[in-house]
Amino acid sequence: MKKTQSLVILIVLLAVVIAACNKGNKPPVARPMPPPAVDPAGTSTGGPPPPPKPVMEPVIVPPMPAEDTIGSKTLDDLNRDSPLRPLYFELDSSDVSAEGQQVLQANAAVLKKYPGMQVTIEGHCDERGTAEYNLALGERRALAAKTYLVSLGISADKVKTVSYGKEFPFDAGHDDAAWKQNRRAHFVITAK
Amino acid sequence: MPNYSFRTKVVGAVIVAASAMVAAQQPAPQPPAQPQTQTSVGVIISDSAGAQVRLAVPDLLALSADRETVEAARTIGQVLWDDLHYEREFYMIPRDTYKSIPPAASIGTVPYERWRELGADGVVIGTVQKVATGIKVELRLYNVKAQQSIYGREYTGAAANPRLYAHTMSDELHESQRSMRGVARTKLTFSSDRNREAVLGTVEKREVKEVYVADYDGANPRRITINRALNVFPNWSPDGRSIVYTSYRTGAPDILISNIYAGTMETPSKGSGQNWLPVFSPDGTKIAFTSNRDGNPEIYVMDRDGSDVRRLTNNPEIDSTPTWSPSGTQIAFASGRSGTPQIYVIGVDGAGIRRISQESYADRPTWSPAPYNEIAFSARTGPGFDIKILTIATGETRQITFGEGTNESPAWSPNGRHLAFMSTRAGRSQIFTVDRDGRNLRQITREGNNQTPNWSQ
Amino acid sequence: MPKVAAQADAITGRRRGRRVTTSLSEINVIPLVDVMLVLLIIFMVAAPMMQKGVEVNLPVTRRADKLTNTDPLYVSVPTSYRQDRRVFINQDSVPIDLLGERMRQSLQGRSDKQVFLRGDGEVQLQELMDVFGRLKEAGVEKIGVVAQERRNQ
Repeated sequence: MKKTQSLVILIVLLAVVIAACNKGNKPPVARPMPPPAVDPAGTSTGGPPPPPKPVMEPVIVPPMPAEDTIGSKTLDDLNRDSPLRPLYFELDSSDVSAEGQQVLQANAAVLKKYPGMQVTIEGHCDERGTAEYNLALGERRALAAKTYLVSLGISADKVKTVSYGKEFPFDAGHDDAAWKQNRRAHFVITAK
Repeated sequence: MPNYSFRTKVVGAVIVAASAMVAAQQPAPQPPAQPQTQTSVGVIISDSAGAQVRLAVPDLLALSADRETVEAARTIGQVLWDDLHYEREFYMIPRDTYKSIPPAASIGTVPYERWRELGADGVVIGTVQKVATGIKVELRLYNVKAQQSIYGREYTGAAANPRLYAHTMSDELHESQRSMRGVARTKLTFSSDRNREAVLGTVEKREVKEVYVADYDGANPRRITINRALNVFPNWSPDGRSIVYTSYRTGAPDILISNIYAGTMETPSKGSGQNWLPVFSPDGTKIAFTSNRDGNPEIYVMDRDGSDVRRLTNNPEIDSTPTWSPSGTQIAFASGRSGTPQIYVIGVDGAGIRRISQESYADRPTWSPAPYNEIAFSARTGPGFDIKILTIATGETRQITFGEGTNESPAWSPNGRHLAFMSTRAGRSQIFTVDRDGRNLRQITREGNNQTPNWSQ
Repeated sequence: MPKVAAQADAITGRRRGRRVTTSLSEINVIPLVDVMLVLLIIFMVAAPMMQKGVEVNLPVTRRADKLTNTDPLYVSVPTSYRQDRRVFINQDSVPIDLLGERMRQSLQGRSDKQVFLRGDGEVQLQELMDVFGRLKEAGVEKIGVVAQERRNQ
């Protein structure tokens, strides 16, 4: 009985992750978007995030996987179906949006649950910036994500940052949907 | 890499007695020594009535019948024509128009009348001969009107790369006939994913980018780095023996120097922070770069060995992408301090910062060599970028690419006449060169994706 | 991984490259010589008193424009063309195979891409077609056919 239950949870979790991964490959559908962050200072000082506004979709918090799911997976498998979601950025910006803050809160919860976990946050950019400047911008994106995580109580020495600029796009396309996918702070688990 | 040793001597009307042993280009970058006592009287083909001097370069005569020599004779003629054409100093008569003109029976007997009929002011006649040490190449420039040889060179060296003989002759012809420095023996370095290897240690499929070197025309590409990681933004040392670049081989961006002829590496930043976009100073003793070691991307300068690190900028926004002025006293860079990336200039002592660009987005400044006091950069002109050139004295900006694909990362040729840059106009990311007036566009790379070029001295 | 920024184009969605024109649906193939003649402007001029160039028996016409060009570029096609396939650029004898290249050289730095053809009256139109084609290929935009004006009796 208990076994089937955890299996169901696992399947739901997988579905959520796969849905999140596939989102960017489809043309954008009209749906209400949360407004961008209005308080960039809040992101850098790391104060508590504003409460979710009523118009927003409910926050999807990945259910805590059963202990053995993470424990038994290899790092590669873990990164392939990562419990840590990426957060996305506006063009030319390294401000963490309200949506991004929710993602980071969920990621922080995972990191707190697994104290041994160490991550590298990769900063990525879309092709509409130059290769050179994007390296600095990606660095700022990764750093913004890290700063916010630290403000949520995650130890700074568990989180490394690296920028890849526009060198490794997630979506090789050349349209808005691809660019949105490529402007991100991406989490890679390096130890568990 | 093969080591070419050229035996150079002047032949023809102006005979200079001594012949000198010189090492050409590889590995030593010095051009073959110019003869000391050469006189310029009567050796220059001058413009007639304002029109450009018209030159013809037929295939060289192969004095040996083996395939290698015959092949070299054809290659040297074609490459010499291309090299001379590239600088636009001469009107180069298309080679297909003189297919019908019989080759000179020997280097001394030239069918002048046929060349005159074609409108040639000068014709370069040459021979290739197999010798014990490789090949012997003799080249002479004939004045068609005066019916005499006015400039000559004889080279002996390895047969492996006949293009190098043509490049050497082209540079020497430009020097002697036009008192200008050609780029035929210069090289480009760039970053490429052409070997299609995957980066290790990631679940995403990411292709490595390695640093490559090729001749200025794209021939003879060679891979410099072999570390299966991201290796980008290569930059030549002034002596052409080292390349400094941004490497992710340890997982984070850091500065590496490859001494390409010695086969050794240096890590000058010694692991402090993350460091990228290194550029050698004009005298090669210093490196400017971008680093986050103090928590935010800023511009730093250090000695080549990593000592004496000095921070130049201090701003909460991004400061990135430094380039040296030809005198080495100033650095231009890109900064987001005004809200969008713009080009700024600062003294190497950190004083006198000023903004010089007024674009919606400007990055990758590259300071031209003297005597042009200009900065080329990438400017956002629509969905992508175009190359613009800013004249520092007047503040005027002109555009030299116009929205075909995106065009980024300009790099000047050492004579300031050409720019290499990355463009997607042909589909994938490729290296192109273009003249400073926007003409003479050429595609240099075709294999894989290629980016962030830099031109050797 | 081409880094081409696509145009914001709702209909085509994802496409490579900016300013990519849609393919021309049909290309009509026109023989080269036809295109050349379509694009060449040909007009008649009266032969001036003092002439540069070789001797040719110019064709005779009733009406022609005055030649106003101060430094005209002449191409002469004498009757001997039929045997030796040589024409003259001003005074300079040139084989027909080199006419295109020599004309390109002559047009360098000239603002007018205009040539005055001094064809012998005996030369056939078929022979002139080859000359026209080569001139057009070299960048000539206008050809003035030089003729002798017939004096009214």
